[in-house]
Amino acid sequence: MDIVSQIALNAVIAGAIYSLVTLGFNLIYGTARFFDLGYGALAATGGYAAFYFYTQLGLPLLLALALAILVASALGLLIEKTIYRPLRARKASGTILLVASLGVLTVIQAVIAIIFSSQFQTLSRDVAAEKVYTILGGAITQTQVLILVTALVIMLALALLLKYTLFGKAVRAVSDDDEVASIVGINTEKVMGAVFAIGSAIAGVAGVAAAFDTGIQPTMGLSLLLKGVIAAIIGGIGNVYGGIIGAFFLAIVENLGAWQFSGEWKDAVAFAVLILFLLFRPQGVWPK
Amino acid sequence: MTGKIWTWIAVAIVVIGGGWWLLSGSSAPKAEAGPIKVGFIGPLTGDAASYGIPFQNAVKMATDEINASGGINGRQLQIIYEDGKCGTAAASAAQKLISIDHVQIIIGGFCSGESLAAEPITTANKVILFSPGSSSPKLTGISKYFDRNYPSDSLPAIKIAQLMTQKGLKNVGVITETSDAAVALRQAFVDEFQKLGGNLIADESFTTGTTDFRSALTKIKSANPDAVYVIGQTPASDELIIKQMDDIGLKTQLFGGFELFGGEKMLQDIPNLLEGAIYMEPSLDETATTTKSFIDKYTAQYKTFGGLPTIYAATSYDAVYIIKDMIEQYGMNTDVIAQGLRQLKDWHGAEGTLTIDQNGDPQFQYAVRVIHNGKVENLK
Repeated sequence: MDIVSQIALNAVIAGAIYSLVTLGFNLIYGTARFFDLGYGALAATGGYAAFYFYTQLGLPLLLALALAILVASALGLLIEKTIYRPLRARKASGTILLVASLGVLTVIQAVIAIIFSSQFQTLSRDVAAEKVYTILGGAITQTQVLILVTALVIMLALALLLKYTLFGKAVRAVSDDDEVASIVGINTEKVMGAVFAIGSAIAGVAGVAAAFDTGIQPTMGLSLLLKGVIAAIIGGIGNVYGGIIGAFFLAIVENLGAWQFSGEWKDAVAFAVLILFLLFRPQGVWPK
Repeated sequence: MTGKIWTWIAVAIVVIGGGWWLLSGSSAPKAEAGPIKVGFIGPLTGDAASYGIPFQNAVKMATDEINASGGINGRQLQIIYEDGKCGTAAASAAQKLISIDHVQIIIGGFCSGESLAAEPITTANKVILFSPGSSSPKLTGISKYFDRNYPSDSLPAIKIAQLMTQKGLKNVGVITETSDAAVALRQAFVDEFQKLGGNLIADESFTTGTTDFRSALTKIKSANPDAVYVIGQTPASDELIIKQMDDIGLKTQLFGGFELFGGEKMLQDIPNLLEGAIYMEPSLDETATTTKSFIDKYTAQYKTFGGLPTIYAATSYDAVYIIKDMIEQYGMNTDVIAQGLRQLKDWHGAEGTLTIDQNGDPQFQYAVRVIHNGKVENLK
């Protein structure tokens, strides 16, 4: 019984981080309608900013986290304004935007590696002092509980924002058809900017969560992004809620794989699931 | 219009003619003039960059010293650095160094995976591959052109198995990174441990770059082992594994596959979790004069060994001086150098006194270490 509840908890923790990644990814994909690879680098930016403000500068935890998320959000907005928007204005195709975002990913990764070195680093925390909770024989640390709660709060907040506010309506209108949206008087560029700022902030939160849970390295963004994309495809790409289901489904399957086979099979299982979905249900479990 | 055409023709003549002149010029002066080029292959990016950067620093430091004191036979030493990414990328790095830079000697690889990938190419081209960090037992006697001044892991793996048996630790769990060095070490350990009657009750592995080990560790925990042997390729994996063992409440006697447990970064980050952990390392007498002066100079210049034990930087630094001595003694004939390396006896350097045997392996003493109150001690 212990082992089952621990595996379940492991899956829930991983699922929480994946769902954060996929949440922001789907938000941006649903509105801007291109595969934003640079999104992964924004998660890494969040992780490294937290490392810089908290571990290197020694700022108070909450202030450091707020600044880290702000940095990720601002960088996302900056990239949208200086790179994606001019490309969109030139009627660039999704493929061109994808290639541009690959460039963004590579540049940010390289800059992080130059500033912070490409070594794996951990955010200092007093390991011995951390509270560990036991649920049905499985253990979960305080950090992980906080990550889980944060993920749930952000999911809920985003759902409310999209459903009940005027801004949410505008986002849905732009993602349905941006030309019609602009005809009826919605400032699509402004909405797009806000979507990038919010999506990038969520990427930043995911990066911070991953940083505190495990650690940081410049290439962390790409592996997070890949998991987020798999979750998005499982859930139905562009569908904000479907992605969350996809994220937890992916985490459960991965950890079951690690349990039933061996730890080295985790990624193999994740990508096998992706291939199965692409072959048999490319629209995902919950199409947009 | 015709003016434009003439301009283009003039440009074409300058470009083609100039290019031809430059190329023929560069291929003319060979052998005895210009710097001596030596290749370098190490993990400069990725997790294993924690080895690669101190490796590169130590090599740079030795090269600068040699060049400042007149070079090798009056020629400057030039190192060409290539990234082997701790694996098969070393093959293309070796290819590039040999076919484009025409090097005859390569220092590296650092990771065992790099040396294993580069060796077939260097051997085919009769290029010396001299590794200051690869520890896989598979590399012993692999080629007459491959030598190393860092010892094979077969000895510590066997010693750890014997130590566990002596301590009455019968049921042991292992978690191994699927890298060449770690897999080879695990195999050497498992063979000996099972021969001595031990039970391998959990045997988990993970791919490089994994950050979430919890489900693998949960399985090990449910097998209730007397001890866990952690064989990660880099401090990054080891540290995460040990932290996550603590997260899920897996408390047991820890053994380290490599000497990373004694590295400064792990000791700083998780001293409490390492309490009582046992590992083996090639014994380095840090009070010996050559060793001490190297450590002082290195730390003055680069501050940190990148979180790793000193031994790795010391062997890297020595590698450059060994190559220098070889060239001075035998010239650039790699067949003669290959023989010379295996006759190296009581050579003095930062790593102490070095003797290389007929299989290209150095003879090294090992020390059993234990971590106590955040400090490395000898196991009594």
